Amino acid sequence: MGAYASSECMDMVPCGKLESRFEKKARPMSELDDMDELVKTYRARILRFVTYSTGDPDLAETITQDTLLKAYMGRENFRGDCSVKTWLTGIAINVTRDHTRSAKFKFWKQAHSTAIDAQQMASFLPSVGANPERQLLAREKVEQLAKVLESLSPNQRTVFLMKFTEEIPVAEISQILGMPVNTVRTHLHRALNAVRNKMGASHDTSF
Amino acid sequence: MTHLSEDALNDVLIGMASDESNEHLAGCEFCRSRVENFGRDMDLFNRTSLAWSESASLASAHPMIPRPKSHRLTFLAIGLATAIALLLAVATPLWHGTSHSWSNEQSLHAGAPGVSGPEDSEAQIAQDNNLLKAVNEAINPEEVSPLNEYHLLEKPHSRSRARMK
Repeated sequence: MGAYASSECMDMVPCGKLESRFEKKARPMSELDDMDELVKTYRARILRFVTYSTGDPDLAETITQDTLLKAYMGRENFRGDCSVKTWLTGIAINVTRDHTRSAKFKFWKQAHSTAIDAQQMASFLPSVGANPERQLLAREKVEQLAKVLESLSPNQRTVFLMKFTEEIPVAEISQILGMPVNTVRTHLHRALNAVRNKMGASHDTSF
Repeated sequence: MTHLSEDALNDVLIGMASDESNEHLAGCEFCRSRVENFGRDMDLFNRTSLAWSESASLASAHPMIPRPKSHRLTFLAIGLATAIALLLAVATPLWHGTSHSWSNEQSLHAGAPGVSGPEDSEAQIAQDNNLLKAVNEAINPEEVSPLNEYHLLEKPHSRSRARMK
């Protein structure tokens, strides 16, 4: 996480870099104006992203709450140049970075931390067909992928989640993280190699 | 037939495929199925993790909107408590002071109930004295001297002259 850009404006306007800094546009009305709608639509997504980014579900709850509050309080800064999801992800990354940088976090991380329960997560697997064998295989894959994610470096994990879970284009990931596109690409390649190697040949079998 | 290299396949997966890779994919079912299977696995993971996350969100069900309100309420409560404490801190000694001086005056002016007032200054005392002096003079005019009363100050020769007349 330490490699992330530390620009203050990134806290609230990660999409600010995507447009000309000199161009001020009126913010269009969006779902950001309705806190209930914001929570309803994005809370689970942000929670998932932060949970896998930090590897700590308890901390992820706090970060998700802070992210949504920060987004709501700073909604005037959102100018609609990127999707709300991308904007929120950028804020979540900065809030996560702030939390994980603090000495308090480091202390508690050493003293106590909760881990993602891959088996529990896999129990939410949607039905992939009537065949129990297929269901079992799918469940194993999900568990395996969750475990592989934990083994990645923070940078690799974050860019992997942004790309394949949040479906943010590489150029936007580069803007949000303040990383050159080639660096993002390198992290993605390494993460993909790890995922594909650890998942073995299972990728070549379809459900 | 050579298939896509791992790097080329990774580029395809992250959406940065070269034209050659795209051409290859169009004609190679094996490579295409690898790409599709990865996408399918990720989709399964995403749906499962989102369902888990939604369940966790519902379970925790932290109220999001009331938080700033509760902050406001907290600040309001703290402010109110501070104001009350300050009021008590100032009012209590004042009350004690007032009741003390009041009771003192009560004891001083026990013979003249209802007469009370601030302590007199020098100027006030002087003014009061002048007033009392004036009143006193008005009530008791200066005693008439016997000399004046019996016209003893009149010249004796004039009287003798009159007698002579």
